Amino acid sequence: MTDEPMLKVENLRTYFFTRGGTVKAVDGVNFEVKRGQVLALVGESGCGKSMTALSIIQLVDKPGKIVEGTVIFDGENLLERNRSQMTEIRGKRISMIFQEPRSSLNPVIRVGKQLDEVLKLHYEDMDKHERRQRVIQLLKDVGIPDPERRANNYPHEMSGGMAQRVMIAMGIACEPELLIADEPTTALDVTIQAQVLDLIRKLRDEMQMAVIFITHDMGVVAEMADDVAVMYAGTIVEHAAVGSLFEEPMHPYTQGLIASIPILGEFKDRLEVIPGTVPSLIDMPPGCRFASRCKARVEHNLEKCLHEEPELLEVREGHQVRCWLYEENA
Amino acid sequence: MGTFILRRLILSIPVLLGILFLTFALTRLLPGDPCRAALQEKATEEACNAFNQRYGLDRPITVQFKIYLQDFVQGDLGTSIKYNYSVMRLIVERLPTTLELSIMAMFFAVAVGIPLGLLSAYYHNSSIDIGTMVIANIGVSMPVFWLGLMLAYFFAVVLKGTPFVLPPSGSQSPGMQIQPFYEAWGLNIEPARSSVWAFISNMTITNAALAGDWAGFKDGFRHMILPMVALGTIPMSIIARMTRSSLLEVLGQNYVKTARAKGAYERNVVLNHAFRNAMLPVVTIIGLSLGSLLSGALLTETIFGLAGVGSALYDAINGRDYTVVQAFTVIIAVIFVIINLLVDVLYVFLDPRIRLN
Repeated sequence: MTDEPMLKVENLRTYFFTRGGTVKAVDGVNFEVKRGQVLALVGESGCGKSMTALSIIQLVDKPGKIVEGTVIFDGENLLERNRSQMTEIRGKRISMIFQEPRSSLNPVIRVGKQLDEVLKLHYEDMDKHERRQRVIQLLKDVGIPDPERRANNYPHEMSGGMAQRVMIAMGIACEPELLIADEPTTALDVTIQAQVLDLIRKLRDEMQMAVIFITHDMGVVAEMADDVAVMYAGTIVEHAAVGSLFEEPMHPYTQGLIASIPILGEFKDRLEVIPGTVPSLIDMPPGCRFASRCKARVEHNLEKCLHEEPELLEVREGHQVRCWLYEENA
Repeated sequence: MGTFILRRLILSIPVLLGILFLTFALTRLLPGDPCRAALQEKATEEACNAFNQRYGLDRPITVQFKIYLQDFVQGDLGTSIKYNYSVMRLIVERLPTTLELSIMAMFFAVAVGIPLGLLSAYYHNSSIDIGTMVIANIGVSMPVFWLGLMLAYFFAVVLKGTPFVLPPSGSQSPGMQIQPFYEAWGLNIEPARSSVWAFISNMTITNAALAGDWAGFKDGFRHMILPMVALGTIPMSIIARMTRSSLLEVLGQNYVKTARAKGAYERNVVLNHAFRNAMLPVVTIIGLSLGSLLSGALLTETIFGLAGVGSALYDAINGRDYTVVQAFTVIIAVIFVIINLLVDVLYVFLDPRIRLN
């Protein structure tokens, strides 16, 4: 493992220019991922996790636009590449798998052919026979029984778990250096979830891929991640190694997220919730984005939170947090 | 697949029976009677009785229907009251023109409509999109007869004397004589006026192509351009709009995002991943517009002076020519049933999710 980061995202801003105003979906995000490392991006729906991922491979749909920032991948700023140059990166060096496996596969093309297409796009010297062999091998690698037969299936003939395995096979077909998994287990039931997580971990170990794992499930985070970045309303509010984060979550939002996990066997009248909702991404209030929902702000009677936005500060080694509570500690 | 088609064919038998009954009943319900229409108003009672007896119109209606069905099953469509020759011969004379016109119009509609829709969706919200949709909306709102007249005026009158002039009526130039293809092939057959040979040789362009008559082909084709555009414009516009909206919907699907994430070029994404999915509703529309095409052919044939089914049917209805009205209606209905069957078969090929059993 080298210390040079595989991917370094700096000050990334992706805005959506709609009639109602500018939606700042990703608003100044910084992080890095090293080879063989799993970074979890955590946060509730609409906090900008998926948009951050899509911005990395430049698949943000209109009216969205990356307005600022750099995405340094293997020493090169990807945002300087044009559209056709990006196709050389996508699927080959950075691949992405999505949340809904069955709707993410083309319903009118056999899964074997969809897998074959990735190889065809990126390995011009492979002939048809070699590609077929590789497709079968990939299906076998992701644990699909009877791969020769399964390759001829259409997506609707597969279960969700099987389809997600096909998606993963597609993701790793070209042995990418970075795999982005956008909530790959959300649509699956729990036993299948565990199998898929095991699979991703195994492949990471074997191929030394860097993985960005997007989820809102703290349980999955604890199981998968090396590093965690907690996102809130388009920014990262806390970034730490997974152990440090679970032992001592610092940001009031992270604390709320962890407190809201139900613990098996423990009886509670009510689950912990974070009161309120995410503020509108169009007219963001000044100050801290979490201020309106923050219990700690009320307890500590902090006025500053409402007027001035905190910086992401390194409070302890490798543990960064965006909160005025820790101003003196930095 | 074979059993699927067979089952669909068997299922269309009741449909056909229904059509036979309805056309029979409806023609009988028309006010006026065939005798006065054929022999004029001054025909005497005796003359009319003799006339009715001759065509079996004096018998009870149920008996007439029974005879009609019996003849139909044996392939006998009856004798035209007005022309006094077999309806089959009329069909062989008139249907080829309509068929050729409809197929060409449909070809035009598909060949122009789908690319227009594709362009429009690909360059969504750009000036190309707006331009093509303006064309499509004008096209869909324009009555066939008006468009036909305007085209004829523009290409035959305004452009007269330029190389772009096109003939506004008829299916070939005066004096143009195209040998029937079987004679050109040296086949020594004497085709009856109601045979398959005669039918094919009555399709002007097809016959010229088969006979290898290049000048005749060119001449026939030039005569067909204006009717083809006039008749094909409405389905073309419908297909363009359907292709556009269907493709836009498909382009927002997750699997399109997957295809992009694989590293596929945008053109590949649109043509290989989105297009086939987007074609499903378009195929249905194509099948349905063939029905309206057959009715639009009536107006088009009238404007461009083509001797097709449309004008024959119009004359037959006015002349209370029961057998002809029935025969043409049934033929159009059969064509419609066959087209729908083809659409269903095509669906099975396009979408594997449709199970045959």
